[in-house]
Amino acid sequence: MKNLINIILLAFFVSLLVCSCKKEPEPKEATNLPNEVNLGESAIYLNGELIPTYKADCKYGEVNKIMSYVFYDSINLVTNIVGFDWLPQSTGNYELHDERILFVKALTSFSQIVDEDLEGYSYELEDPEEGFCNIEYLDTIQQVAKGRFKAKFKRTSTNGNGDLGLPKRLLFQGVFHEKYVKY
Amino acid sequence: MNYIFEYKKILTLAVLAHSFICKVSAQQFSVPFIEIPNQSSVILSSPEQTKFNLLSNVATSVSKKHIKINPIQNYLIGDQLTINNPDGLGNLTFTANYVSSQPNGDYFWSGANVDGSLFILGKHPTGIQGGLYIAPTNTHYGITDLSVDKPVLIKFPNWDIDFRENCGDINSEDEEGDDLVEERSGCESNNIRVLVLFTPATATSGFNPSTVASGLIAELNASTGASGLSTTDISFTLANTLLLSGFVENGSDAEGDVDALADNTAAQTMRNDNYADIVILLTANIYTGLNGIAKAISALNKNAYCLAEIGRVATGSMTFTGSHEIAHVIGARHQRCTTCNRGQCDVSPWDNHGFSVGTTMGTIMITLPCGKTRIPQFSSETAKFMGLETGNEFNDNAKKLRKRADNVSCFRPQPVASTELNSVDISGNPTICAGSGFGIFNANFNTFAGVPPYVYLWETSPDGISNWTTYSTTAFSPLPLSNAGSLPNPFYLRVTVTDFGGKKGSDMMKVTLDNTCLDGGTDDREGTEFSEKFSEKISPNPVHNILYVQIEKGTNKILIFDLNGLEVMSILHDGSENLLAIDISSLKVGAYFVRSIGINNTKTHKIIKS
Repeated sequence: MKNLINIILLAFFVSLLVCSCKKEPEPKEATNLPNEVNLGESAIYLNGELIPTYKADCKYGEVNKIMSYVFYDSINLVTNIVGFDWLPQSTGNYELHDERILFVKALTSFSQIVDEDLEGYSYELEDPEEGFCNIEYLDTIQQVAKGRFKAKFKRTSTNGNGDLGLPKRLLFQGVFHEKYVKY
Repeated sequence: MNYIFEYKKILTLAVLAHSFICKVSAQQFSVPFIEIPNQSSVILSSPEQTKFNLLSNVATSVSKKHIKINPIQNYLIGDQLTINNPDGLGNLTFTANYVSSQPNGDYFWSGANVDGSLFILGKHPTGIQGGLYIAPTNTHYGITDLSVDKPVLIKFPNWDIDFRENCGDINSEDEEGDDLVEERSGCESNNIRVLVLFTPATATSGFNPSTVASGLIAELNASTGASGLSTTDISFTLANTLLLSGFVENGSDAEGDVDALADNTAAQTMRNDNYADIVILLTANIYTGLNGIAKAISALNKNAYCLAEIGRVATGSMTFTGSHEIAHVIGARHQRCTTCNRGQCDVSPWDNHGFSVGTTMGTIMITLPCGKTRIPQFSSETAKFMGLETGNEFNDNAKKLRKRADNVSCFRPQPVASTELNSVDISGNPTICAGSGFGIFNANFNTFAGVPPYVYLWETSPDGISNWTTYSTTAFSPLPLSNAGSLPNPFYLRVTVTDFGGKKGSDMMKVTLDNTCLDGGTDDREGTEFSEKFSEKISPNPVHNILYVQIEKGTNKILIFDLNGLEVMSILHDGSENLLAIDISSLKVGAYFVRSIGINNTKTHKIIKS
């Protein structure tokens, strides 16, 4: 009988613990993305909101023949960077991944840098199958790229930082039209 | 990389102590510490409104309220201060456990409630920063300013946000316990050996990696010397300059790259072989948002890796980025943008060491976004620069470097030098395809037999005895040999390595040109046998758009040729075992040869593009 009470009490407390767990809210998704943007006027959305301060830093590495589509936002001394890397210099709708495998899919990352070279919050790619990086147009002579993307990230650590301005979950969406540089 | 304060724990302990010790002497002030009027009652100027709007774009801020803060010069440790709870849930009382104030009205104040609530505030000439955490409701607030006298309270959702003090506890910054430091392992040297690696992309950056590496070591020695440290306190030696073959830089994620460097087996092997305490990787890519990054500020063996863009390391760039990152690895912290003494905090809460040199300069550890010129010195209590103070008792990166040098120099043992340079050995595939005419050769030798930098003279000869012709003189190994098709078949490749002091060592290899390797497999040794195995690793065939190639470890290049032997596609690979997807949609319909080139073998197979 005593054991039975113990089991019931244990089950009660476990159920209390489970019920008290708050599910992280899904980040908001923007639904009104433009079909196209002008050159240099890329539209980057974070959790459903247009963040006009995001800039593009797209590159082509000539030695390894890889494209990097990078978008970043610097406020004060915090820089947020979302990037789609290690892609071939060709159009295509690329799946996302976070392993260092060349060309197969878009190596997708989000990093936060504080004060030049200190680590901010750490995030990992979440639900890569729901995201994409679609390079719709590429002019390798004028070095211009157009495309759109969607990528979700989940915070893995604050690395001991205080408020760095970002929530636990990030949903980036973007429509871009940018020049890229070679290095 | 990061400077972590476990502030909650410190404050909670402190407040428990003070709540006991200061019970008698504590004063309860009747004047509210802060008042929080409604947002609507505050009139904002246009710039303030702009900043207010900018804060609205910060995803975490869900509400903002303007606050008024009363002078607190008279508040002492143990005094209890009351604030109006911003949520309208009555008052909160905090017991001060760290208080400092300046005659000009600047101050730093922190206090805690026994329930775990915390309040931190710092006022400096250009504004106010701080934070508020209410334990029972787990509510977080940040305090920043719209202008000098318009602080604003920002509410954050209930995420696990930790507080970090604006200025840092200056007194404890130089204590050994504030970073992770490994115990010494009996090594008595303060000489730190630095291995400089560079990526394949860097080789075409226009900089000579060996020159940059030598300059970096000279810069480290000169700057520590100028900071008042002797060569017995700390010194740096170049362990070697080597190509990290196959390392592909990530255009956006420098953190990912430095992690990949630390995990890179080849880099670890090179580090061990060269007895290197610290490894720095020079990259070609200018990473978005930064010039270099260190694995951590820790003086831990496993974290002794950093990277920097080669142009920012080169002597004459005046950015001192290589020295900056290596100093992080040893334990040096960032310097503040502006002078920061007690209670007079910098605008940035993440700069937490040192102070300005004059009004326009900073030491090597100042961050470039501060907009000041770096001087070739670390902060030091004793060493001045042009008559200006570079540090003080509490802000002394030179002292930290001296303390940590013995730990870091013991990450790897010191090598025992040899007197001969007699172990030079060429490695590489002795058979090169005549069609591509491309091969990679390494000159391996005991680098401790000589003194870097080394010069590599590569020569070819039809018989290995006479008519030696210089093919290339390089500052590093390996040699990418191209256009071999124009050389005699076979030919002999000789390398002569000369060290800084003029000591020489040499080796020779016979290289055969394979005229058959483009036909898909008439060569018994390499053609049919390897192609059959290789064919199992290529699919589909015929292929329309995407060709999948299962490549073996050590493969560093995939080439595609047309039937005329013309190279139509070239893909470099990082040497890992992988499934590679190659987009060949741009190729015309027809037959092609796919060639996999590795360190030890080359494989070819015919494919049909449909």
